[in-house]
Amino acid sequence: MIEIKDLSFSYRREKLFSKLDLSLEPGNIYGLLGKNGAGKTTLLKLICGLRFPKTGECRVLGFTAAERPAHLMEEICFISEDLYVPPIVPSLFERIYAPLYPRFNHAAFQEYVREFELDYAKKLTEQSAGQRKKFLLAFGLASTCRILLMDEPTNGLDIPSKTQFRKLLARSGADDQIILISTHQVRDMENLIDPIIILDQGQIIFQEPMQEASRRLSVSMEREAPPEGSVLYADKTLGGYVVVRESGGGEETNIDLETLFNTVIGNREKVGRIFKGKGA
Amino acid sequence: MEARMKKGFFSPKRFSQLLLRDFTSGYRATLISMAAIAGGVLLIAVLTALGIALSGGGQTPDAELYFGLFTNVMFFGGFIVSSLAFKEAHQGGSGIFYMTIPSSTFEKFASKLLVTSLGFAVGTLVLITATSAVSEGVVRLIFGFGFGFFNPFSRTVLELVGIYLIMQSVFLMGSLWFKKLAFVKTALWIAIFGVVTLIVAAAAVRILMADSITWDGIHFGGNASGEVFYNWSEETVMKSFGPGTRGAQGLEAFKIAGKILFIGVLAPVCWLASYFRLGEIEV
Repeated sequence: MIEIKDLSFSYRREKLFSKLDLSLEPGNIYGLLGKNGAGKTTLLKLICGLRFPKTGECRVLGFTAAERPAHLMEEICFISEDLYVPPIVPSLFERIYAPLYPRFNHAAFQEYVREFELDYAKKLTEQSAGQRKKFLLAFGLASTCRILLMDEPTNGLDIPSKTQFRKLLARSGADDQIILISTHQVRDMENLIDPIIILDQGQIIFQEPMQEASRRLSVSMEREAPPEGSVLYADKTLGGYVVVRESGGGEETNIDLETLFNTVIGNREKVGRIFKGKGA
Repeated sequence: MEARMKKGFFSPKRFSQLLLRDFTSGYRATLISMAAIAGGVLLIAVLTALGIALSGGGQTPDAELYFGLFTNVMFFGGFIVSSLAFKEAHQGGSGIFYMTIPSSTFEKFASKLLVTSLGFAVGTLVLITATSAVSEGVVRLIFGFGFGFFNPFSRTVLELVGIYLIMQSVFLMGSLWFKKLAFVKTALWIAIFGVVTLIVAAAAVRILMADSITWDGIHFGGNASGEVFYNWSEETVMKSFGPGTRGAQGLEAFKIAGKILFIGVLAPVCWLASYFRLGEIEV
């Protein structure tokens, strides 16, 4: 359980989050989307105690994240975009770091290493960025931590590796795990991340399951451009326009992540109103 | 609950994994440094012996050669290593990696402290003892004389190790305070602190003990005849106060307080400050 209440955070004079509230439940693979500089990485860092809130609180599994207690850190794995690895071979990495994660699954790790076709004998610092990322992803998934945070996990992966990663992630997610993935590569994460969280201007402006988004919004392909202001979002594409409207309560239509993101970012207030009354 | 909390603060298993990490992550650099030190000791010993041999008996072998080398390696090397101890915590990628390692702040701090203090001192002792033994053998074989073996258990050596353990705590703290050039910045701060302390101490002596100073013996600037006084050794200063005077008692008290501060207070204060600083680091 991740509980963020009334959190404010700023980098020196630049305010990033103001009175941010967020609650994440186990058993989900959350997708964290937002424009550049929206604060996605900072939010991940706040959750694992690498950054401290100015006001408010961030509690993870009942612990205050900023205190970084050992029992909490044993249950958090953060795969950052920076891809730092120590200059040692993978087997030594496993020998040093795996015992620090009480739920580490060695058999699963060996399996992931095989599936990612990782070189187990070569020093991590001598491997390519893609190989390093795959190694860290394999380790993170095998740690079976209750909180798994990933920042742009598919950046730098080749096409087969992306497919492999999706398969492994879908297979490894446990009911007591919260997986939070921050990404711009929404096509890589399609059908995998759900619910979706969209961060903009220091606020969570959208946090809904994809099913709810499909129920509340209708997507259609139209030949002509719709009149301005009559729809939530319209984008010219090959052979016409992708148009998003508020659903009239008819059939659910599949909305892809990119379209959903653009719709939400472009119509914060309208979308907010549409989803506000969902429970009614 | 208490047991659980204690385990959260310190777990031998996590601590040993951190130690293993600290030893293995820099083992290559350590081996290269050790080889360089060993080579340096051998080279210095051979060149010094060559100089003595060429002087035709004009010089005598320095019995303190290995002791001097040991002192330099332990202090300079140890301070540099201590200044680099937490460098990884300040850098983007490695900082994230290090700070999210599942362990408590205390375990992280204690492992670095152990490696850079006792670990480094013992490592240097072993290295210099072994290298000096080899070097001594080589020098005796070539030149027919030696400098005497390095004794790692002599009282002076053990006292120096004690002084190192205290002083390195300042550099370890510096590595947490300064993101870049920690060694230089810490050394600079120590120098500034030294100068300020000296000025304050001199002013205090001048103000508080002025009446006990025998002005003919010591003046801050010159004696009665206008001769500038340079000899500020303890013996001279003590003599100038005169036995049993307030000044002599004050100086004695100042000495004891200084010893207590250095031996008993400096290191624990630096450790505590470092521990809290580590807990405050944001990446």
